[in-house]
Amino acid sequence: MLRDTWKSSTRQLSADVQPDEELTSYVFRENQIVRVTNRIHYTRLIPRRNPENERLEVSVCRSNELTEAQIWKTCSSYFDPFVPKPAIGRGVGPASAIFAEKLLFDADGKPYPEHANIIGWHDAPDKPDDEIKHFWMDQAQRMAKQFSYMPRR
Amino acid sequence: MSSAIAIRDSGLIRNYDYELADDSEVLSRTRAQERNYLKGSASDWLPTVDAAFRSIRSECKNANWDGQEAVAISDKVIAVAEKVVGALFGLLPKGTPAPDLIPEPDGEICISWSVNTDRLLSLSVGAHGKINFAGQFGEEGGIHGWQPIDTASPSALEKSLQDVARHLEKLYPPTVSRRAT
Repeated sequence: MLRDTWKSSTRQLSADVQPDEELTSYVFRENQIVRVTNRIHYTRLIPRRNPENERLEVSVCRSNELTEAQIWKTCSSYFDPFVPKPAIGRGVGPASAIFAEKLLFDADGKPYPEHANIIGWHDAPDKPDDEIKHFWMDQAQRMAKQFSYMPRR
Repeated sequence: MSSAIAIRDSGLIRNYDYELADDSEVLSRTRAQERNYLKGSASDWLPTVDAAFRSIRSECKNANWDGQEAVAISDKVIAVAEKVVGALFGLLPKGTPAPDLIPEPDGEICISWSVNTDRLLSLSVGAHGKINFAGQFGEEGGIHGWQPIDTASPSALEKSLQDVARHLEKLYPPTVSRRAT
């Protein structure tokens, strides 16, 4: 049914993420918001290892062509059921912030058409993650300052 | 044990003062510092962070606490983070605002200070005897790295964290009101 809703829209989602696209990162906890700046905290943009292939990834929604209602419908369907509390808002930022850090996107469209992973993070197989995490923190801090917080309506 | 540190702008090392910044930036920064000073000074850190640690302990004690396969935040990690916060509390000038404490999906705890979008410093603390840190200092550039920490005793930990405390003092340089505290 969700897919039908998306199909009925007139938008065209390019195969590759474009720098001027808007991205959404859903926020579930109050402390993922930096109140003094009204931005999301950078920890929302710290990568995790995909258990299937060990790739470092950050999950985002390509929200450029979605209405506010569609954005939150996505959240209700694909995020809220799996977290202790429903999302309280979202961070909204440009894809250019990710490209500025020399990172890339894998627009896999799974589990929903607008899903993409931020990839290309610094990795060093010969070192433990606790000795390279600071590279991710550095990049995520610069990216997060472009992700304004918008409360859920 | 080794450590690593990266500095994007060598000016960060050479010159931490603000003489090169224009007046409006200095004024804005000073106002932000004063606002933070009023919001939560070092004298009231501990009740604030105690409440945050209690929240993390209750909400993140089980794996998958974020619904995205997060690692549980263990009592050991919380204990280390509490020690780090306590040591920094002792090292920093009175008037330094309390940090934000954020649970991380990898089972670590982020200890974070934000002045504005361009000026922030964060530590990531786990149970592995290291901290990762990263900070942005506006036009002065950024810094990031990891270092070992020694939690064997309060004095050893304070010694481990002296460089971090110096970075934080760059974020919150002494002001008239903070010096008077």
